[in-house]
Amino acid sequence: MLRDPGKNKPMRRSRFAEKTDTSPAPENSKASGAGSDAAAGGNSQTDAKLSDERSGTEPGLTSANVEGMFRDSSDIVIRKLNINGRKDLPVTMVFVDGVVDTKSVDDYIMKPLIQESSLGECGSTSEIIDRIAHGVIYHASMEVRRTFSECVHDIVDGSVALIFDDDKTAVTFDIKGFPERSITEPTGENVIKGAKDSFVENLRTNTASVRMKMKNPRLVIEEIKTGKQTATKIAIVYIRGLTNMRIVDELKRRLDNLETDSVLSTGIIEEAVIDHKMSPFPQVITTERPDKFCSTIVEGRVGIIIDGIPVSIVVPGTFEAFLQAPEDYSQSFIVNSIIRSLRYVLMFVTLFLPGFYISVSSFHIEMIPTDLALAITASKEGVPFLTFIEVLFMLLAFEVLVEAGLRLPKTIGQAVSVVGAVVVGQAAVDARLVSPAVVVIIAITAISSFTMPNQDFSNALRLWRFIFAIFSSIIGLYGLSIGAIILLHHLSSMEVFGVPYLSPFVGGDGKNMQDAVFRFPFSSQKKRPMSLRTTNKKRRG
Amino acid sequence: MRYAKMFLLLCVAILGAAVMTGCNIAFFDATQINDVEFIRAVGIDKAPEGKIRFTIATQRIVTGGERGGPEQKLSEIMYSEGRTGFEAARNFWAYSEKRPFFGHLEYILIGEEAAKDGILKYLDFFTRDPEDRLNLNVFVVKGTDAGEMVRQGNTRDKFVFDRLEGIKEHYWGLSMINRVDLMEIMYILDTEYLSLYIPCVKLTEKTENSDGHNEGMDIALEGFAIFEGDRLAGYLEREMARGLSFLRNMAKSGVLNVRARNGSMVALELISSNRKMKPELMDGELRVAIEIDLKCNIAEIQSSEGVFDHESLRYLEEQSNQLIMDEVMKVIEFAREKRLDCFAAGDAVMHKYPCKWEDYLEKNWRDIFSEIDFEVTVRTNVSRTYDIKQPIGAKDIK
Repeated sequence: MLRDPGKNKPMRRSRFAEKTDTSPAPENSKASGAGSDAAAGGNSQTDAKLSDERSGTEPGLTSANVEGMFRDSSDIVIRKLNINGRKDLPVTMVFVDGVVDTKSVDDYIMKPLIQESSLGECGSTSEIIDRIAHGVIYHASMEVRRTFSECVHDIVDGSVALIFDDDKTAVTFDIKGFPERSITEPTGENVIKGAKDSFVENLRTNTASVRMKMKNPRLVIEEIKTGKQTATKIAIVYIRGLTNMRIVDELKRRLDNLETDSVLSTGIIEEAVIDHKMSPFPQVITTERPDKFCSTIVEGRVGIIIDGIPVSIVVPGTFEAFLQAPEDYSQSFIVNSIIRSLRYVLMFVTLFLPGFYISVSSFHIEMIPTDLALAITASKEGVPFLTFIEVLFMLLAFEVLVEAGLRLPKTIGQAVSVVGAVVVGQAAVDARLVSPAVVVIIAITAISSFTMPNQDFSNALRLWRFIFAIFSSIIGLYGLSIGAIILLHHLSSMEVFGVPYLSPFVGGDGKNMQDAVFRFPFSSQKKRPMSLRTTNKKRRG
Repeated sequence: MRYAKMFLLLCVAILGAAVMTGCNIAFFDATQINDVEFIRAVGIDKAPEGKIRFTIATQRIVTGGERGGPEQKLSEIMYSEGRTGFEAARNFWAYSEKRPFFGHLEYILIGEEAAKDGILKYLDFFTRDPEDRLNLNVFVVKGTDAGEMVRQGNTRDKFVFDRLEGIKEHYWGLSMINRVDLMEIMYILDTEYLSLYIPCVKLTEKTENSDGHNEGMDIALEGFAIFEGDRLAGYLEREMARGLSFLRNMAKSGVLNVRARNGSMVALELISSNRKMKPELMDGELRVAIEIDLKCNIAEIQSSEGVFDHESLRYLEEQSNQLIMDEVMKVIEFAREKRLDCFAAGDAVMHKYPCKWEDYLEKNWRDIFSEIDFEVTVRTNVSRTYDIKQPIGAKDIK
């Protein structure tokens, strides 16, 4: 059973959890699988239990079995207690040290167990369980577990379990106390005018952030678990009565079909849910900003929040979404339209400029204005390499610099960038390895690529830039045109969750151009994107 | 399957590109930009033994090297001969350090002898060669060889193409010529009833250096060269050239020197002009009314007497009308005499009477043209007088 510790009430039961409840065989469910697999590597007793599980029979819920499961784990705390000092009322308390809040354990669980006189009056442990269930131990998030797997899972999930061997029953209290990172400013999607919060590693904090921004009772946050070894919680967020349920169902189906050991990065989920795995272009929107996440949900998309990852995923991701920045909606629509259209121009610049330069300087020299041609010629004086080699060399050098900048610590990274860009660049020009014109071309290309709001999209453009450069080096502008046609064919043939990737530019969806290349005033954006086929189509009116 | 299709599409595209372009320049065979010699101007002359001589002026920029010295512009003159233009062009390859590249050729100078010989055979190469631009400017060199102009016009500091660039950019200030590019020449030579006109330039000495010596020769505007077919038929110089610009509706600016009522010179600056050509066919007689409307301002008054009263301005306008009328009529007489429709009267007739044009006018156009009664009307409007109304030293300054 999944709980919401923030609100201390049981959350919606996931489809996955439902399966667990209805099926006695734990191997049919990933959650119990995770719990049981976590025990792998234990002693022979545990192995025997695992074989029991595989054969369909679960070990009994006793402290000995639980102890056997966690026998080799040093962070598991197992305490044998006598309720109210009565030796005939034993209980075993089990929790994972560091994951639970020990002060709460002391105050709200141990103290009543030892001191509460009403518990001492009980004649049997079953009576105690009944009293605890009715609030003698006052903690809102409490579950009575009667199966071994449920109990073990609760323990690894951060609960404190009180195991009553006589009744083969455990009472678990969700008292997570894991220290978590506080909500900070987004690192990659900063805005001047706009919210300053970002997602953190804790799923519940993230869902709370979303709830705080969308106080809509129709907002649904479904949870499932996936990852055999990690049993990672994944929240699916959408608005009932607005979102196209086909997208929601399809997303759930794809996540259910995901067979993976762990979900420790967004890539695993992303790869599982996208349609075109061979495409370098992103098909999901990733964001660390709750406001952007919410705006996409309101638009009719479906969000995914993964426990332990401070980045959310939104499906379906379409081309135009990757050219929209969070700041777009904080600025005047006139200013923003200019900036956004500039972004589109720069996308073409970063994509085509190296190839175009190779084409015109190697195949179509007559196209260049004479004075510029003479200047380029002068700049290439003494450079022994072909333009194509120069451009590829510089493109690769740029990639190396970017990679080096990313891997190194921040302070050194900046120094390396400066050294790389200025010193090495100048040295390369002085040494006649590359011409200044090529340096300028690559610099423009690189700066243009940095204006792309989405890093995954920018990476895809980087890849295609190389392809265009190679095509151009073979047959000039003709090659560049062929490359452009292939890219266009690739993009226009893509669909993500049944939504054309290039919408609203293709698919007869030209009506929703109010928020594409230009951003029209909000008053004119009356409908949600038609391509998403939302149940509620109107944004206003 | 989809990727297989993509791969197939890619293969077909690359293969198609390699096979169908007909170019053998691909990948490592491509001519790099620093491997070509930029030809900026070419002089075309008639050489002995029926050959064609090309004199080219190339341009190159040399940087100051690693020390970062100032960049230097260099130009070289090279000659080549051949029985055809293509051969002459290719013969440069025999001794040029880099491949001569005509893609940045901007000026073609045709020597007088070559122009008399017929320019078609000299220009065909430039219209056919895929490297060349069709909007390059063509000039006829009056009185000398084109090669001589390229040589004399190219000095250490000033290059022939820079001088021609100046003419191209500033011709409108005198309205003596207008730009004629290769494309227009091709069109006119293809249109039998029209007569080709090409701006002409000549060598002259006008500029002195700071040390008092002339270095090289200047290239000056001279007017238009008029062709019969593709052969030079004569020149229209200075005022007559401006008359042709008025007739072709190409006059943009210029100086109109007229006399005021007191006999002093007044310079009018032409601001704009508009020509309308209205053909009329009556009883088999073709009449063409030409109306020219000018707007001028007063640029200079060589007198202390004011000219800003109504009568004086009217007088200036009449003087201007007469001046332009004379220039235009001289051109019309020249054209009628030579039976050369150099100001495209035929186009106006064709547009008004397309059926009759097709029936008989086009076939006999040269004869008909020489008989046309041209009725010219010039209307000048001195519209701008600026703030300084009174001449310097005027007695009745208000």
